Amino acid sequence: MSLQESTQATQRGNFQKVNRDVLRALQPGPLYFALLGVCLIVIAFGVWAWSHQVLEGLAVTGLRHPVMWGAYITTFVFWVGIAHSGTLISAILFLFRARWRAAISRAAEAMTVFAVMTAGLFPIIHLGRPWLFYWLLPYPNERTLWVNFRSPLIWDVFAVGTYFTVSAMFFYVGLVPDLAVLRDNSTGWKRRIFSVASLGWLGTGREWKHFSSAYLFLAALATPLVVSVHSVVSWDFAVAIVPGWHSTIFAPYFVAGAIFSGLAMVLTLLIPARAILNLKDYITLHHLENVAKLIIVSSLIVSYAYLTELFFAWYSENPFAQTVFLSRAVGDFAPLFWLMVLCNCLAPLLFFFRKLRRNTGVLFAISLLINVGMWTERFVIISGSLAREYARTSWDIYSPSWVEWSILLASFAWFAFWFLLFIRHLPAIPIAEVKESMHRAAHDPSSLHTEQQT
Amino acid sequence: MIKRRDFLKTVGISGSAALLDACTGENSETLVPYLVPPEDIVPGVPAYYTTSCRECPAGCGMLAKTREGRVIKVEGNPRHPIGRGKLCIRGQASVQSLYNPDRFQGPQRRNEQGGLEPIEWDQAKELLVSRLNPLLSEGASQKVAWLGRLMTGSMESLVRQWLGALGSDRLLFYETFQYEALRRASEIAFGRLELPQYHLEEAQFLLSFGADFLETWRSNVEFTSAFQQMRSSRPSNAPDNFVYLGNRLSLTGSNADWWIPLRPGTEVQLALSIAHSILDQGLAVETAASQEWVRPLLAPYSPQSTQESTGVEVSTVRELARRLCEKPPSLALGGGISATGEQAVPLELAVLLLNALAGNIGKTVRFGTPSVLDRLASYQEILDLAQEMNEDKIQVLFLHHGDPVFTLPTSSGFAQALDNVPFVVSFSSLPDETTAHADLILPDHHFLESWGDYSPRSGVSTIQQPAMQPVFDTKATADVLLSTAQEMEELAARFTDSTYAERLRSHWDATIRKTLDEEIPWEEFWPDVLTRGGHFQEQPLLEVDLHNISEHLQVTEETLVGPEEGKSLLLYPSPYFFDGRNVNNPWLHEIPDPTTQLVWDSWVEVHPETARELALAEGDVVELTSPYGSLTAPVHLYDGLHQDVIAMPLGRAKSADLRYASKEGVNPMQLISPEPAADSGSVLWRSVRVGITKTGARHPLVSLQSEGAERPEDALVAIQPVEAPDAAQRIRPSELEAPEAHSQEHGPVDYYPPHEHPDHQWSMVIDLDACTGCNACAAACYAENNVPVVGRELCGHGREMSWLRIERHQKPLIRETDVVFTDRISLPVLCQHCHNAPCEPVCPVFATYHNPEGLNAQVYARCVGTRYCSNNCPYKVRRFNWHTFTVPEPLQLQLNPDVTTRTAGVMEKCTFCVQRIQEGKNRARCEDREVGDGDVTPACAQTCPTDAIVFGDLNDPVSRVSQLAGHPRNYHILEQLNTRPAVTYLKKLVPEKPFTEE
Repeated sequence: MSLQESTQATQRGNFQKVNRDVLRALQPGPLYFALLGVCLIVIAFGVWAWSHQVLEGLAVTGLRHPVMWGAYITTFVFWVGIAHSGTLISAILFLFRARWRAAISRAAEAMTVFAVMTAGLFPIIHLGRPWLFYWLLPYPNERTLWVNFRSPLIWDVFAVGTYFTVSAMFFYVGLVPDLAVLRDNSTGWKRRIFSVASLGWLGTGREWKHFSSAYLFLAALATPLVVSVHSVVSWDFAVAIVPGWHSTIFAPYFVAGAIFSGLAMVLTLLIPARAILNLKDYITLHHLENVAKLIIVSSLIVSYAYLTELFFAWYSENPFAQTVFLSRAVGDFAPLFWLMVLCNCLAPLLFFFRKLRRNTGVLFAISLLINVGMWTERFVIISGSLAREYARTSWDIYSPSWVEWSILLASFAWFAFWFLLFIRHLPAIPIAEVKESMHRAAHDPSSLHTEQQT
Repeated sequence: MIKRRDFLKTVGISGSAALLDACTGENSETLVPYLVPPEDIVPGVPAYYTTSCRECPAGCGMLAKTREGRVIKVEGNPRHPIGRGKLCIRGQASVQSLYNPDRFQGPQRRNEQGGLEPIEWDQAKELLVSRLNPLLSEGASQKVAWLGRLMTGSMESLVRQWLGALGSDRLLFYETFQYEALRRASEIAFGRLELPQYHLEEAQFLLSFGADFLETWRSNVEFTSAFQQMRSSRPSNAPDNFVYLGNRLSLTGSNADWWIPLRPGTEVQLALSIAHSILDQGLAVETAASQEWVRPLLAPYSPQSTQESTGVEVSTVRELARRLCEKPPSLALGGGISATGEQAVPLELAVLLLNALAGNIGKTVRFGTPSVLDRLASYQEILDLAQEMNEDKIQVLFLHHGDPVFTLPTSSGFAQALDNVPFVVSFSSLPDETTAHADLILPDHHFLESWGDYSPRSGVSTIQQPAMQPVFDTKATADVLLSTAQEMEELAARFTDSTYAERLRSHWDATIRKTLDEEIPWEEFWPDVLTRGGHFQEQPLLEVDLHNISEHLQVTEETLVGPEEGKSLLLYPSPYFFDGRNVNNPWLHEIPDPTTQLVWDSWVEVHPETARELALAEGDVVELTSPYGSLTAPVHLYDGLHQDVIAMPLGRAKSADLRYASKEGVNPMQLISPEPAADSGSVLWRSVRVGITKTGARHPLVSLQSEGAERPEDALVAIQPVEAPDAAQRIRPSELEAPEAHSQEHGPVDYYPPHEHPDHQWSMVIDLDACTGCNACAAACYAENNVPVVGRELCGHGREMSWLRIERHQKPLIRETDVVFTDRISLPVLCQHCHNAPCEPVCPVFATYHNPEGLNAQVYARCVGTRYCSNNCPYKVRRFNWHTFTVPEPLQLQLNPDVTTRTAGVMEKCTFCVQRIQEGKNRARCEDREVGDGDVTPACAQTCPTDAIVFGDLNDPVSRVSQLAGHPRNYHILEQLNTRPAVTYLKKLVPEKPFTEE
C-alpha cells in the first residue's frame, strides 16, 4: 500500500468517523428530552402571559407614560442582534476564506434563523392591538390604505423580512449535501422527507460546482444584509427626536453591537453543545479562541461607540442630550449603565490573555455576561432615553412587570426549543465542509497554518 | 352567526331603548317611538337649558347641554352676571354629581338594626306625616327645625311657610365657610351688617391677607375674571401689582407676584402698621385720615415696633403702604379661612381701615348689594340649635344638603346632638357623615334635575330649570314638602299649588314681574327669564361713612391651644372639593391639585425644614394630635408654608362608603377647637397647635408631575419662559415660522414642503400671564372628550389619560428676605398640533396625520398601538389606552355622543375639540355664511375664567388668535426642535426689580 493509498484509506476512515460522530450526535439522551420539556413549559407560560396581556391591555406590563417602549423592543433588538453573527460567521468569514468557521457555521446559521424568528414575534407582542399586526404589511386592499413608508417601523418590516428570507435560504442551501447524508443513513418516512429536502442530491462534481457558486452567491447577498438590517433597526431610534436616540453613529454602533452579542451567543450555545454532543474533535478550542478574538474586536468598537456618545453629549452642549447621559452615568439608570460597561467593555478585555480565552469555563462565563450586558445596553438606550425626554415634568422610571419577564424568558425557551429540534434532526456541523477542510489539511498542511492565522 | 343586518337591527332597538330609558327614567317595555316628538329633543342636536350652579354658594349662571334627553355637559351662562359664561372646575365636574353611582337611589329609612333600608316614596311620606301630625295636634311650637343649604326666593318662602305651618321659624342656612367676621367688621366700621362687594377689576394694586379668592373664597369665578381684568391692564415694566400675605402659599398666593410668609397671628399688627405707614408718609385720603381717632389708634403700630413680631421689615411695610396709595383705587382683602382665628374681626377691621385710608370705599369696596352669604347662620347659632337638640326641644330636624357632622368641629358634639333628636330627616342626595345619623332619607333631585331659583346677591335672581328627567328615584324636596302638606289635614288648605314649578312661577310673577317699572306680560317675561337664565338688575351704590372703630380693634396675643412644640394647624378649603361635598367626584380626584400636583389622596403639608427636624419624608404617615382629637395622614413636603405652620386640605377624604373618596386622614375638623369666636361667633379655624409624631407607616402620595433631584436646570428653562417681554422682543407674523436661529444659519430647514391649509388653519394662543392654574379647562376636557378616569393606582403607574395638563413650574421658594418672589408659572400643555409633527412620520399605519385644517388628527380605528408617536412627541401629550376603561353606571350617561370612546391598545390625545369645529362649520353652513371668529370654541377655552386660552383660525387675519399669535410675548414651547406648534404661548410678565428698592 503506497503512502498515498494509506493516506486515502486513513482519510476515508476519518470521513466515516465524521459521518458517524455527527450522526451519533443526532441520537439524543434523556437530558435532551428533559430540556425540550422545560422549553415547552416555559413557552406555554409565556403564551399564557401574553394572552393575559391581550385580554387586559398593556396595563399588565410595566410600561407607562412616557416610557412606551421597554422590554419587548429591547428583546426584539437583542434577538435581531443575535441573528447577526450567524451570517457573519457563515457568510462574511466564508467570503474571507476563514476556514476555521466551517465547524461552527451550521450552528451559527441555525442560530440566525431562529433568532430572527424569535425577534419577529416581539414587535407583534408589543402592539396595543396585536390582532391588527397585518396592517403593518403593505398588502393591496379595497380601501387603498397603504402603510406609511416614511415610518422606520415599516423599514423594519422590510429589513427583518428580507434578512429572514435570505438567511433561511442560505441555511437551507448549505444544508443540502448534509441532508443527502441524512437521507442515505435513514430509513422509512424519514428517508422520504430527507429525499425531498435534499433535492435529489447525488454529490456529483457538477452538483458540487453549482452548490459552491450558489453558496458563494448567497454569502455575497447575505453580507450586506448584516450591515443593513441592524442599521435599519437602529434607525428606529436614530430617526426619532428622542435625546439619547437621535444620533448619527447609531447604525455602525448597532451593527458592531449586534455582531458582538451574536458572537457571544455562539459561544454560549456551542460550549455546552460540544460537550453534550461530544463534538470536541470538530468544534475545537482553536475555533472558540478565534471567536473570542473577534469578540475583543467588536467589544472595543462598542466601547468606542459608548465613549463617542458621551463625548457628543458633552460637546454638543445640548442640555437634553446631557440630561439623558447624566441620568445614565450617575442618575437613576447608573446601576444598569455600569453593569453594561462591566459586561460589554471590561469583561471581554480578559480575552487578551491567551490562557483565559482558551479556557472554556471563562469563555462561557464571559459570553453569558456579554449576553446580559447587551440586553442591558439596549434597555438603557431604549427605556433610559424615553424616561428622560424633553418634558421633564413627565419623567418616570420604568421596570418590566412579571408579564414582560415571562415573555422574555419564553423567548429564550422558544429559541432553545428550535435549536434543540435542530441539533436532534439536522447535523449541527456541516459534514461536507468539515471533510473539505480535513482534506485540505491533509494535502496542504500549510493551509491549517493559514487558517490559524486568520 | 349573526348577520350584519340583524346586528344593526339589534343595536338600533337596544339603542333606542336605552335612549328612552334615559328620557323617562323608567323602564320602557314598549318600543314605540315618539308619536309627537318633544319639541326640544331632536336626535343629534343638543338642547341647552339655563340654570344655576349649586356646587357652592357663589351661584354662577349655568347652561346645561343635553343630548337626547340627558345632560352631557355644563357650561357657564354668558348672559348671567355671575361667571359670565365661565365655570370653575367644580362647576364643570358637577355632572358627575348628577350621575354619581353612589347617590341615594330612592328614599331610605333607618331600621331597628340601625341600618338603612330602601322604602317606597308613599311609605316615606306616610312615615313623615305620622311624625309631623302629633306635633300639629299638640300645637307645639319650635319643635321642628331646618338646617340646610342657602335658599332664596320661592324655595325659601315655601320652606318658611311650611315650617310656619308646623309652628316653627327655626330655619338655619348652613355653609361650612362663613364670613361672619367680615360682616361684623362692616357693621362696626360702616354700619352695614353685610359683606362688601369687591371690585377687583378696578383695582390698581391688590393686597390679600390670605383670602383665596381664585379658589374658594366667596365667588371664585367672578373674582377670577375680575382679577384677570385687573392684571391685564397693568404696565409691563412694573407688572407686580398683587401681594399675598399669609401662612400658606395657596393657588391664589401663587398667582401673586410677591408672597410675604407671615407668622400666624400677626396679620392684624401688620395691617395696622401698613396703615400707620400710610399716615406717616402722608398718603392717606383726607376724609379718612382727618378723623381724630385714627392717629391715636395707629400710634402703637409703627413698622419699627411691629417688625419683631411680624418679621416684616420696615422698608417692606413702607413699600406696601406706598403701593396701596400710589395709584388709587387699590384693594386690600381681609382674611380667608387661614386667617380666621380669635383676631378675625380686628383683622377685617384693620383691612377695612386700610381700604378707607387708601380711598377705596365706594370704588373697589362697595356696599348696598347684600350677598346671600349674609343670611348664613353663624356657628354660634348652630351651637345654640345643638343645645336645643340636646335639651330635647327639637322633635323633628330637617337636613337639606350640607354635611354638618363632617364640616363642624367634631368636638362641638353636633353628631351626638343629632342622635338626641327623635326624628332626623335628610334630603341629601349622597351618603355622608350626616346621613349616617338620619332616620329618614328623602333624596332630593340634583340641581340639574329640578326647578328652583337662587339669588346669590341682590339684583341677581337666577332660574334653575330641570334639564333632564331624574336619574334615580328621587324627588325634589319642594315637591315632597307640598305633597306631604297636602296629605296632612290641617295643612292641605294652605298649600294649594299642585307642583313646585307652579309655585315658582307664581312667586316670580308676584315678586319680580309685578315689581318691574314697566309692565311686561307674563307670556313675554317668562320665556325671557328662561332664555336669559334669570332676572338681573343693577343695584345702586350706597354711600357709607367710616365710624370710629378704635374701641373694637383690640389687638391681643392670639392663643393657640395644644403642645408648645407643636405647629399651628392651618385648614384650608380644598380648591376642588370645597368642604368635601363633591368628594365622590372622580374627575376632581384625577386632576392634580393645583398647588401640590397630587391626585387621589388627602395629606398634611409640612415645611421641608420642619420635616428635617422631625426626620419626615414625603409619604410618611404621621399622627397629628391636638387637645381635641387626633388623626393620621401622609406627609407632603411643601415649601410654600410658614415654618410654624402645617396645613391640611379639608374635604378630600370622607369616611362614608363612597367609592371615589379617600379614607386617609379623614377629617381634620377633629383637631380644631369647638369654641366659637367670642366676637363673631364663627368657627375658630386657627385655634390649635398640633403635635406631630411619625407612625412608621408609609402611604406614598401620587403626583402626576415628576420632580426628580437629578434634573439640571437647563431642561426646565427650555419650557419655562421666565423672561420679561422686553428681553425678547420678537414680533413674528402670525404665520407659524421656523425658529429663526435655524433658518438664519442653515437656510431653509425643512425637507418637505409646508402643509397647505386652504380653508382654515386652527390655532390656539395660551396666555401664561392670564392662566391661574385653576384646572377648570382640564375638567371641561374630561367632560367634553370622554376622557377616562383611571384611579389612584394606575395614576401612580403613569397611566393617567388627561389630554390637557397644567404643569406647575415653581422654583424652590427662597426665603432670604421677608418678601418672597413666588415665581410660579402654570403651563397648560395639550397637543401642540405641530406643523412638523414628530408623531406623524413615525406612525407605520397613518393613524396620525396632518389634516388640511392644520389639526394633527388621530384616527382611533386605524391605530394599532405601536406607541412610536408618543415616544417621538417632545411634549408628551399623547395618551395610550392601557385598558379598555369603563365607568360604573350611570356615569356613562354623561358621555358625549359626538366623541368616540376609545378601547384598549389605542393612542389618543387632544383633538382641538374637532367635534366642535365640525359643529361650528355645520352651523355656519346652515346659516349660509363663512365660519367666523368665535364660531368654534374648544371646551377648555370656553370655560377659562381668565380667557387665557384663545382659539381660532389663523387664515382669518382679523381673528383674535391671529392678532395674539404675533404678540411680542409669543413663543412656542421647545421651539428649537422646529416642530412649529399651532399652539402659541404668551410669556408671563414677571417683575425684574426686587420688591423694595431701599
